[in-house]
Parts: sequence; structure tokens; C-alpha cells
Amino acid sequence: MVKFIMRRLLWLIPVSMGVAVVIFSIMYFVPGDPVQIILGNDATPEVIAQLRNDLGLDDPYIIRLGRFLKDVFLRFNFGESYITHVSITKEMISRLPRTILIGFVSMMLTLVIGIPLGITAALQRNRIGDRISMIIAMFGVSMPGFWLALMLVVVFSVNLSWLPPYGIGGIEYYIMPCMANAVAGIAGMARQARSSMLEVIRSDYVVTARAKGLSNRSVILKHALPNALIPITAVAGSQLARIFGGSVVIENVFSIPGVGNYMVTAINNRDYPIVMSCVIFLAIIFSFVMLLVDIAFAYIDPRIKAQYMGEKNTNRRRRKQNV
Amino acid sequence: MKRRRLLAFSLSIFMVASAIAGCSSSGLAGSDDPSPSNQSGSVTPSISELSNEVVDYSKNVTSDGKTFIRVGISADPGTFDPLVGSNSTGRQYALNPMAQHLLTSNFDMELFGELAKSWDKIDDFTYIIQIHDNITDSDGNHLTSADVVWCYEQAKESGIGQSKNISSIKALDDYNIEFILDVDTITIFQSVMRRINIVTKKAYEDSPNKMATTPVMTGPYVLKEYIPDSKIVVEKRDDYWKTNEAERCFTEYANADIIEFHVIKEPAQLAIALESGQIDMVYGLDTMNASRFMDGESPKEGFNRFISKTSSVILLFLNCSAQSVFKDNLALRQAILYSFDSQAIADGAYSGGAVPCKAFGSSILPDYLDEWESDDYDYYNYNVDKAKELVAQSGYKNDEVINIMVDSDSQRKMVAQILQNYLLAIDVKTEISSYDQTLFDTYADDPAKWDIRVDSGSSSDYLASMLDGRFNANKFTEGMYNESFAQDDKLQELVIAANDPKSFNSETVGALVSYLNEQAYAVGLVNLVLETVTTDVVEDIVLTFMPNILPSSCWFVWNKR
Repeated sequence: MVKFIMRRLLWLIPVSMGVAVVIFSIMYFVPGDPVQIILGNDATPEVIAQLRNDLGLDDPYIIRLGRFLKDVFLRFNFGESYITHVSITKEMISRLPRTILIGFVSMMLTLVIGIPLGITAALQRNRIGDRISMIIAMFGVSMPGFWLALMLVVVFSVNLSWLPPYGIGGIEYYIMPCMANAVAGIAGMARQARSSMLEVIRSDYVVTARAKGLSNRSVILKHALPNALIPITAVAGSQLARIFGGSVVIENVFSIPGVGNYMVTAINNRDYPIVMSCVIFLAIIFSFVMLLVDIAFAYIDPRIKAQYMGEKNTNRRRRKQNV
Repeated sequence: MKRRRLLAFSLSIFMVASAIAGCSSSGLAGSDDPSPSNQSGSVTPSISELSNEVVDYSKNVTSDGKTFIRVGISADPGTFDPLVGSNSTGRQYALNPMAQHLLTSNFDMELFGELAKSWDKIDDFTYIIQIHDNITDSDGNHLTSADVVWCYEQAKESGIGQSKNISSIKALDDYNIEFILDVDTITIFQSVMRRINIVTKKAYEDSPNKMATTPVMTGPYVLKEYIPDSKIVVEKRDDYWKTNEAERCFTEYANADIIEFHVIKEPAQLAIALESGQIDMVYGLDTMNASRFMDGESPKEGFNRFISKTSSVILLFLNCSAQSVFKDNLALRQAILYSFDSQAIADGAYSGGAVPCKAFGSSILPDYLDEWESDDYDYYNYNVDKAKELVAQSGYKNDEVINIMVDSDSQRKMVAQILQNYLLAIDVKTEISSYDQTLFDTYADDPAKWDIRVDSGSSSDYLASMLDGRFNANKFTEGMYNESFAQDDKLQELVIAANDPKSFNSETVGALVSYLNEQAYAVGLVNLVLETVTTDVVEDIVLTFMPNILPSSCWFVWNKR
């Protein structure tokens, strides 16, 4: 298992480099001149040319790409903003905790509410509980995040005055952003949990367990649930990616100075170093999440664990044969 | 069994409900009195009626007795570095209370000294500026003419504003500076004087990040807190160098002890924040959101509304290059301009937050002529029959699709859609291309990308200088000529004449506007009206020449004028 984790961690290097090359190329070919934004419309062609040269924007694609990769992967330096000249690393460090807090809490809500809701729906199949759960899930999937966010603000801030409508501060500032970010995930998770559970409870081994006279609780918790969790875990990984992507919208609506907000402003300003740094950073986070999902698979599914162990045993056998 | 299932289901419902209900236990930190129903105040049909009303402003006083005002702004300054070219709205908001220039001006182009004590024009190109001898920044550094020269040199190197037009600048002594400019136009002196932020060289060089997050400036306020993309707090300086309040100009008042700028990028959220008592004022609220604060014709209880005519205007350019159908086709250009009703555009796209334009610029500009406001003045007044006739004359075939380019602003996109429908009525086929602001600005210089361009513009001085910026061929790269790509020597002569201080008058400006109309290169569609909605602690607002609101100079219920 340790070898597997190490191997996956090493894979992060080419993955993040690949992401870096792709995002750099996209930003390189996107029309729109950052120098014009920095200098405004009054700048003379000479000053524009000088700044382009200073920023290295006149260099060929391959030289700029090489310089970017060297700075990021060898010097661990994301550089500074074209527009504000503020260090990107410093800015990311100050914004990161807010984005992670929203992402983590949204994910927890997704799991804690979505899975029980889906399982309950499956156990109540075609009955009122199932229908209500699925109607809730359908609403959750259909509602755009920014619309839900504004509705929450109208209800909880304007009408009830319970929660602040925007900004940062205590934990109360994060309740609505997390809810708005989590609702689509909760709905998706509930639908996935329902269909997985339905598939499992029709399986022969569940029928056998019931035939053995085990209690319903024991059948569900010990036999059905662990098997139903396998596809749910796979979905959970992609939900986390969606949640981090959704933070771009949510942070803007709630005026939370996180990484998503930082990235949107940078895209509008063609502040390439910030956009590239944010994308690489999100790609690394996503890679880690996928690694955690794979490790979770190994613990949930004995077949996958056996594969890892089997690989280990096969290697041992080969070594013995060589000896 | 059934009961257990019911229990499981109930538990799930409970989890959802508890997550929502959990919200209710949280208090509202940072808000003194968020409930609109609790906001005191009275209905305020006009500002003059306010003076006798007693408004409770205890919610705008800190525990140690300092007055504060919270302003909702839609953009973060990004950096406080005084010597970068960006002049974004966020930077203007945040820097205005702290930064100072040599001079500033009002809408009527009347000049006021900020750092400058006096200013003299020696000849057409030479000016001597004398600065005050007691200027200090918030770190106590003494500012002299050497600092002013250094700031202008930095600005020139970075191509900021009109600094490119400075031929030479030198310090004559500690408090006198000589400027020699390379052009003599009606606005060049004002432009050079009021755009460059002045700081002491020592403070700038001592700053670890070029004052990006730690500005040290000479204005009446000093930065106390900055959370990027969230909040900026400035506080009145106890050691502000202009101690004699009578000497201060309108940009230097400090009418609130503390000003908090709350960065809220979503327009609906700005209105909600104001409604829920999180902020006290929003400048430039769109008409739809501003209408939420109206109760019929009057502002709702607890709120005030200020309507400001601005120099902002929505413009329509027709591409006269060889790559467009409008090249050498005056009839078609005129047909387009006769085909739409500006009033309908003002109502449809701006819900009344705009008025039809009768010239290329706004009626508040000092050189705007009264005759243009006359009902007899024909500024392509809506005439669909005439437009159809002109289309027939032009030889236009409706298999040629005309491209309307617009940026991503939702209201300007609506203008383009309304225009598209009007053009359909005269059998002109169009398609709309919408781009984000950066791409739009890039494509504006590319004649292959558009036929009709819906754009915005404004002038911080004269209509003539606005036209100079848009149509003076000397300001464009070779082959572009002007923003309509029209190669026209007569237009060029008229632009130069209207902007030369020796010939600048109502005749030359009138001749320029008249010729532009005749040739139908471009028109102004609507003038924008900006709404400022505030809580009732704000009695009057003050705008800069840009225009932008200057919260530190606004008048509040606790001020005595």
C-alpha cells in the first residue's frame, strides 16, 4: 500500500506539469493584451513595447513556457501579479484557508446529508419517503448555485436577518456559502446513493443474508452498505472537484476573498501568472483528493485491496523465482 | 420494520432541516442593526427637507465615539501602489481619501490646489507650480519638490496618464517645480496635474512592496486595514498637514472619522447589503436595484436617493474602413442612425436610468451647447421611413450580415439587442458578437472584427477633448485614423481646431460636432444617470471629476456645514 501511495504521489509531478503546460498554452493563445490593461489607453507605443519586453511577453512560446515551468517547479515561485505586483504565493496562502474551509464543509454536508437521504430513499422505494427524497434531490440538481445563493441571502439575511449577506468574519459568514455550494452535491450524492443501494439490496448475497434470518439493520449496515459505498466513493471524488469549481461562483456572490474570487478577477484582467497558478494549485488539490479516493477504495473494497496485496505477493514470487 | 424505515426517513429529513435551522442560532457579528424595520429615519423626498429631520446615527458611532461610514464598492483596488497606470474604479475609491495630487478640478474645470499652493502659466508650454512647505505623509516624511519630480519621472517611465506630454520637469528649489509640456491643448495642464499621485520618495522606497498593501500618503486619511477582495478601512489622520480647514478643497474634507469600503462584486448583493444595514451607501446602483429603495416617488423610510447626471455616455461607432459595408456609403450610415429611438433604448436597457443623447457627449460638460437641447435640433431623430428610404438609396442587399460588437456588460448587450430589432424593421440583417472587456478593447482596433460597435465613454473635462481622444488621427497608429477607421482630413482639422486653446470656443466645438453628425461616423445613444442610494445618515454626496463618489467629503447628519 505504501508503495502504491508513493507511486501515486510521484505521478503528481507529471500530472501537474501537464496541467501547467496546457494552461500556459491556453493563456498564451487567448487574445487580449495584459500590457494594454496595465497601462491603459493613454500609453505610447514605446512604453507599451518596453513593458512587453520587461514582462518577457515578446519572447517565443517555448522560451516563456520553459521559464514558467522552471519558476514554478524548480524554484517553487509563482511570481507576482502583472497588474498589482503583489506576490502570488503570499496572496494564495492568505486566501487558501477560506476556500478550503468552504470546500471541506460543503463536502461534509454533501456526505452527511446526501448518503443517508439516498439510502433512505432506496429502502423506502416507490413510497412516499422515496418520492419526497427524490423531489428534493431533483430540486437540488436543477437549481443553479448562484441563484440558490441569492435566494438564501434574501431569506436568511434580508427577511430573517439571521445571517450576514456577504463578507468574512466568524463562522456565521460561511453558513450560506457552504449550503449554496453543497446543495447540488447533496442532491447528486442522494441520487447516486439511492441507485447503488437499490442495486445492492437486490443482490443474491443480501437475499441470502435475509434468508439466514439476520435483522434488517444487520443486513443493511453489514452487507448492503459496504458494497453500495464503492460507487458512492467514486462519485464523492468528482463531487469534491465540483465543489472546488463551484467556489469560483460562490466566493464572488458572497464576496469571500478566496482563491476562486482571485482567479475570476485575474481572468478578467488577463493576469496570466495568477490564472496559471490558481489552476495548477487546484489541479494539485484535485490529484490529492483522487489519491485519497483510491486509498478509500482499497479499504472499502476487499477486491481492490487484494489487488494491491496480490501485486505485492506476485512481486515476491518473482523475486523468489529469480533467486 | 415499517416503523424503523419511517424513523430512518424522519432522521434524514431532520438532518436537512437541522442544517438549515442551525443557521438560526448564529448571531450577526459585525452588524449593529441589520433589520430594515429597525432603521430609524424619515421619508426624504428631497435633500433640502432633510435638514430639519432628526436622524439617529448612533449605529454609525464606534464605542470610542468615532463616526464611521460603510461604503459598498464593486471592485477591489488590487494594489495601493500610487505609481501604477491602472485607474480602475476600485483604485479610485480606495486611493481618493489617502492620495493627493498637485491639483484637482470639479466638473466645471475649475482648478483647486491639493499639494499645490499656487500655479502660473509662463508661456504656452511652461508652468511653475509652488507646493505647500509643510506637507508630510502619514509616516511623518516631509514632501518637497524633489519628491514631486521623482513621482513624475516614475509616472513618465511607466506611461501613466498624460505624463508622456511632459518634455521636462525640474525642481527650481524645495517648493517650486517647473513643468515644460510638449503640446498646448485645452486640457493638457489639468490632465497632467490631477492624475499623478504624489508620495515621498523615501516612503515609497522604504515600502517592501511598492506600497501595494501599505500605502504611506499625504491625504487626510490613512489605511488601517486591508483584506484583499473584502474590506478596506481608512481612518482620519490626527497629523494631517493641512490643519487650517478653510484651506482644504472639496476633495480634502474628512467628514467621517472612519470609512469602511466593503468589496461586493455582485450588484444584487450590493442592494441587499444596503437593505440589510450592512453598508450605508452605494454609488452607481443600477436602476432596477435602486427602485427597491423607493416607495412611490419618495425614498423608503431610512434611505436617501441621489441622482447624478454624469459624463458617461453610450456610443455607437460605424466602421468606415474598407472591410465594412459602411465604407463610402453615407446613406447606409445615416439609415442606421435614423432607424432607432434613443428614448426606447434608454427605457428598455436602462429602465429610465438614462436620457437620450443629443450630441456625442453628456450635457454636463462645460462646452456642451444649449442649442443641441432644442426640439428643433435633428440629432438623427427616430424616423423609420427616412431610414428605409436611405437603405434603398444605399444599395445595401440584406444578404450582407452586419456585425454588432458589444462588450459583456448586460445593459450594453441589451442596447445591442434593441438595436438589432430596430435594424430588422428596415430590413438590415445583423448579428451580435459579445466579448469580455479585454477582448472587446483589443478587437475595437481591428476593422475586420465589427461593423457597428456599441461602446461606452466619458469625459472628465470637455466634449472637445473627448472627441479628440476618439477622432484625432495623431493619437492612433498609422492606418487606423480614428475609432471609426475613417480617413477624413476635414474631420482632423476640425478636431485640432476645437482642441487648440487659441481657437477653442463654441463655434469650433459646434462645427466639429456638426460635421461628425453629417458624416454619421458615430453617435451618442444615451447619457447615463447614476443613482446613489444611502441610509439616512448621508445628507449630501460629493463626486470627483471622474466622476466617482468621494465618501470622505460627503455630508453626514453629524456634520455642521
